[in-house]
Amino acid sequence: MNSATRSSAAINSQKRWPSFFWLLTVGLGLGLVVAIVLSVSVGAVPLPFEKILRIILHNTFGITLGEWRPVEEQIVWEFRLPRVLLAAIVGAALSVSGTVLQAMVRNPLADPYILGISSGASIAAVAVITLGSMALGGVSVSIAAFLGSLSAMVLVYFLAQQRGRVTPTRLILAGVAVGYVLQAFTSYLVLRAAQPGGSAVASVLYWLAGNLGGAKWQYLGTPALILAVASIWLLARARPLNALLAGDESAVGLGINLERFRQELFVVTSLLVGVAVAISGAIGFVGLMIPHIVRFLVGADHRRVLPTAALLGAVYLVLTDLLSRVIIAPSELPVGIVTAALGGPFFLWLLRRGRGET
Amino acid sequence: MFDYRVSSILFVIFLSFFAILALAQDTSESEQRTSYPVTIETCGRSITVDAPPQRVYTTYWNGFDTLARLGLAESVIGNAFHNDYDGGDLAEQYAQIPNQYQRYPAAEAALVLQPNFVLASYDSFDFPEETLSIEDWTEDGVAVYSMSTECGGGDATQARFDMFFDDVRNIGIIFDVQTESGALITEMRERLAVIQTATGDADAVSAVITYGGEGPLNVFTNGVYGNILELAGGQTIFPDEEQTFGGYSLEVIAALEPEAYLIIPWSDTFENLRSFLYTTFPSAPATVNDRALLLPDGVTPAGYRTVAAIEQVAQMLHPEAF
Repeated sequence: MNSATRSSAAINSQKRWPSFFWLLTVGLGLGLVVAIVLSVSVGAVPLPFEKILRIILHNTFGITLGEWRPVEEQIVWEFRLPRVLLAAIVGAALSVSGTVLQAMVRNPLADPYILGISSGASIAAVAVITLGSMALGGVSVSIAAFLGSLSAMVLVYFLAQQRGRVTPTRLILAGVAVGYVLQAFTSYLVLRAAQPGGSAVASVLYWLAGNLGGAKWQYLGTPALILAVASIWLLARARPLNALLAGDESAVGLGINLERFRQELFVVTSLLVGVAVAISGAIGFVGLMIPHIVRFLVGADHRRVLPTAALLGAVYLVLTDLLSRVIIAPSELPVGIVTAALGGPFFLWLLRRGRGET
Repeated sequence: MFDYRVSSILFVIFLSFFAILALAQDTSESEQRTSYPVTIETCGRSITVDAPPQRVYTTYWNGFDTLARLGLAESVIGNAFHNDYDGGDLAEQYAQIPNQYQRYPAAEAALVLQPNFVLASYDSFDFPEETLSIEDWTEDGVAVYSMSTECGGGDATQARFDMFFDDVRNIGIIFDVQTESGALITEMRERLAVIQTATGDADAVSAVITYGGEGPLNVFTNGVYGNILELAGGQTIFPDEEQTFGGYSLEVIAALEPEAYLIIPWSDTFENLRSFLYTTFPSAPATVNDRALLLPDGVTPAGYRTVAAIEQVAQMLHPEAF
């Protein structure tokens, strides 16, 4: 059985289990709410749950019940809640983009960073952190990272073109090559900044390993909007994505303009990843692992995979970020370390259990 | 009349006796000499030198700075990782060092200098893989002395600033300049005593020493950094941490309500880092009272210039005491 036939079979098989999909979706939706509540409730500074609720009620609806210290309100409303919501948005964005990229390049090892996007973001962010913001015209780390990711994306796309066409293989190769070159420059910048005691290197390492510690309310709007628009756009193209996963012939047979569709997917996923990586750094493993787990659970139909991946990715990153905050409190671990440390073994177990077919 | 003469003579004899005693004491101090070979302990190692080192390779600023203040600047033939340090009040002598490196030179570049002594600031950082290790130097017959406050790197939580006095004393023995080293130690001790007398009765001011980060915040916790703060009449907000630096949760720092920020501008300008702290912790006493101080580079690693940094910090934390 070839891969296209297998994918079609997997897609068709899911038609028998609509109730499981809906149960799973509702379960994950509730799970996300529980994860968010848990994550806001627990932190390095112990706070009573009822006080947290009162602070949220006050800031959301203007209802004031009882008293609290200003610093307690700051911890809940300005540190924890935006951070938890950002984790949910970034987790969903990485999972959705990973799902789409794996279909687009038809490669199970594809993750949101395979097209050199994270390397572009990394070198720009590291340049700002180690050389100072004036090195890149006074932009912040986040804006530099976003511009870096978009620049890398454009570079990869043009390098992957041959006679006006872009194939999945060339995209991957161009992405990997650009990624290695940019990583080399990033390593040089890190080495150059190395000083005893941490210095800028500490900030660089936190950024490179993925970190949500700098979350603020004003950082949530753009990624949330892009995630919402991109998810709706992708969901509306779930059938062409299914065809793409099944093979170019299937897609062409369905009347899909392959070249144009790939270009659109490339832009949409790059925006998703770029905006996520700009704020949170390069959080690894989520975009690789979650799509595989989701296909294992609901099959390969993107009408099911995309929303499930978004929800599971959000839950996963919210919970792993919670762990990164409390494992060595009052210090913090970069969340990327936790996502990989927990996700890796689970992913391997899943692969063995599913005999390598996800 | 007789009584007056006798008492005068006795008084002169009495004074002379004490003058001779004092002179003898002074002579014995100034003539306190090192008998070679001499063996010294440094960061858990023993090193032996057979004669005052003539060709010294140093790292960072504090090794050269210490030697220069002991009158040994001319013995320094190379300095690694000067990190744009211009020598401060020793700029003229600093510029005379024949070989200076912004970062660590390659192993062969260091070896070709043919030093007969290495004075390292950071035992745990100064010998990265691309350069010569302590073992390599030792095999070449070059003794390596490492400054005590940084033995063990990030785990040096027991380090105290007065360990630097031990270093100065040891360097005095190694280079046979014990009088000069004793005088340098005395000068630093006296300056610190002035600070402690001035701030003695005041409550310790809680402070966070940060070098950047926007969440987590990169913070020096205890060890020599916490001790420097204590000497200035302050107290680190993380006295019980088992590491000297790390990334700390913003919410914990907000909850601990620091009364002062001490900023080391490694990752950004002082103004930007202060602005971030003031925006992030608007209700912290340090923000409300506008108490943020730029810590000069000289605060780390521990050295002579650290005393001036301690004086600055003390004046910021306790302006009423000075």
